[in-house]
Amino acid sequence: MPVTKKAPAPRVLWKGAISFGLVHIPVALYSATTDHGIDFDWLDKRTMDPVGYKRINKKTGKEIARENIVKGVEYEDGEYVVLSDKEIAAAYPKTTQTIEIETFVPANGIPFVYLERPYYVAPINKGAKVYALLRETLQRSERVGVARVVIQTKQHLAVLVPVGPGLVLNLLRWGADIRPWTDLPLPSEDAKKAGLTDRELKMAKQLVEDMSGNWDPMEFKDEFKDEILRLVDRKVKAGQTETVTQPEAEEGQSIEGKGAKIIDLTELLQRSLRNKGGKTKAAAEDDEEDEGEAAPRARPAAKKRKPAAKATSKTASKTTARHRRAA
Amino acid sequence: MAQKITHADRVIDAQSGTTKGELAAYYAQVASQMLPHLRGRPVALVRAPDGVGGELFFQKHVQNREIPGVRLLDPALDPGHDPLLQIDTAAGLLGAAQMNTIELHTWNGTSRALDRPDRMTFDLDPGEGVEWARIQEAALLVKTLLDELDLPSFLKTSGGKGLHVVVPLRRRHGWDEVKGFSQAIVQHLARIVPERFVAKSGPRNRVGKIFADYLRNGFGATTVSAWSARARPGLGVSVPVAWDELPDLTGAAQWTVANIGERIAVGNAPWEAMERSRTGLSAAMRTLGCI
Repeated sequence: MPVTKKAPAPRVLWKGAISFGLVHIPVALYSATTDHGIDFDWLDKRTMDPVGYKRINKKTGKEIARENIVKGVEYEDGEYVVLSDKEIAAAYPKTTQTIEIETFVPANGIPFVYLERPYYVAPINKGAKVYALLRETLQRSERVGVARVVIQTKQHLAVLVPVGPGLVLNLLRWGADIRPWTDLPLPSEDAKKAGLTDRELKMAKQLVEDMSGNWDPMEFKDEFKDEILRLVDRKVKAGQTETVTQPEAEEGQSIEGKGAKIIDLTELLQRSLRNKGGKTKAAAEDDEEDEGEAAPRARPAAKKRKPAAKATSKTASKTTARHRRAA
Repeated sequence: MAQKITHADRVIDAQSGTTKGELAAYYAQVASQMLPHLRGRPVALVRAPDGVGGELFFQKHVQNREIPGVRLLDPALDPGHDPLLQIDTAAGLLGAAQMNTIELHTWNGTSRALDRPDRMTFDLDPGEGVEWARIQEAALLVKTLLDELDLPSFLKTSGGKGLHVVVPLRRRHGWDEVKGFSQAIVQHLARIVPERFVAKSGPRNRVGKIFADYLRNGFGATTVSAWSARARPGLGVSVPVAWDELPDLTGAAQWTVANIGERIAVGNAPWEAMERSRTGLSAAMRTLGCI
């Protein structure tokens, strides 16, 4: 099927079906978010060459070949269990390609601390009507569907929410991942016991009313990013720029053999032509789609602590170590 | 369709119990879907007089006896050989079935203009121990690269073990150029994703990997036609599918002569855009760095 390159269509991240009872709605998932953070790429200040990671043996400091790396889980301090790729793969949940709704709960019944990443859900394969039916029904009954879904080998809990013309699938944190706050010094839920007087409450309410408005996401911008972009702009205008040549990716080093995700491979292929014919393609520049399951990115802190461990396989192909956001 | 099928009760595939008569009935049933793929192209027949598992005869040219309804082409098209064959009618298709034909393979060019191919085919041929998901993934990767080259591509099951990716071409380049370019594509795949692809044929080269066979793109080379049955146990059928069906395919022989049933109604719809998608290769050659 001919693919138009002019305006890249939103990329389908997942295809399957919403399912409950005997109902089956074929749908595709699209990323609802995009990361506009600034990448600070590392450069060698002497030569302006890109800087990358190497995997090293922390004891010897020497580089280690991929085939000599195995995966271990630390079960107590300094004690590890080693798991083979095969054993890990066997533990993956079975992909059912369904968003399996288990229960419908009141729309305001899920505290927002549980909300994680949103995906847009759109009907495919003539599923539009039954899709609309579910959307309408949820809206009218003011309920949302709590569902299980497997996306790229990972099982998620999610909530299916009607929003305007569509349905949004918002991944949920597992109950076990939410910390209790019983130990925090919170004041009593009872206003009297918390020592509030009617007068204070009235004044505070008045103040809130004075400052009330409607939520407009466009009103709020990441000022740090704008500041950096302005600075970059000034430097470009002043001619203070450096040319960085990316070295060719080493053959066979580009991706991990087994665990590599298909999305990485397609991106790799898309990138592979970029240096050749001088074609620039906005479509392929947009590489945030894999954000979904890319574990190394989701946890900046973990990545910072062990740069040599996991992030390397992904960044090796880029040859430049990427750091999302400065913080 | 007056073609008489002799020995119609003879079982030609022990696994499915399909008889010669049932295979002929299959071809009669899919003729209107299949003929657009056969018409105007030289065809090669895989004949199995002793059925699946017996000796197979691959026939590109007329031999001794003509097959009723099968056209003989101008011998000048393939110099030094007997005339090439072509099937344009249901009668010819059934004539072939009567002659114990199980598979029908076509050229990538048409007999009226056989100097230049009008399509390019990649046969995703899995090595030993390659699981189905990997073949699906490989097809998607081939499509990704073709998309990136702005080459529309179309998918079909092979009916055997793999998948076929077909790129309809404007007839601008000769056989050697097209074959060379298809090789460059496969080499690029093997270079960028060496974990999955090899650029050399031969079972030893591709253990655990996939050879995207570009050798189907030379003069005289053929690939099994859409809707052809395969001379393998179970009699798989090569069926055109839409790219968005790819994730749901369960195997290259998902459809067989025995279970093709309702799929016939879908017919060639997944390939409906093929004619208007014909593309020249110059831009793609430039992008890939071939010229």
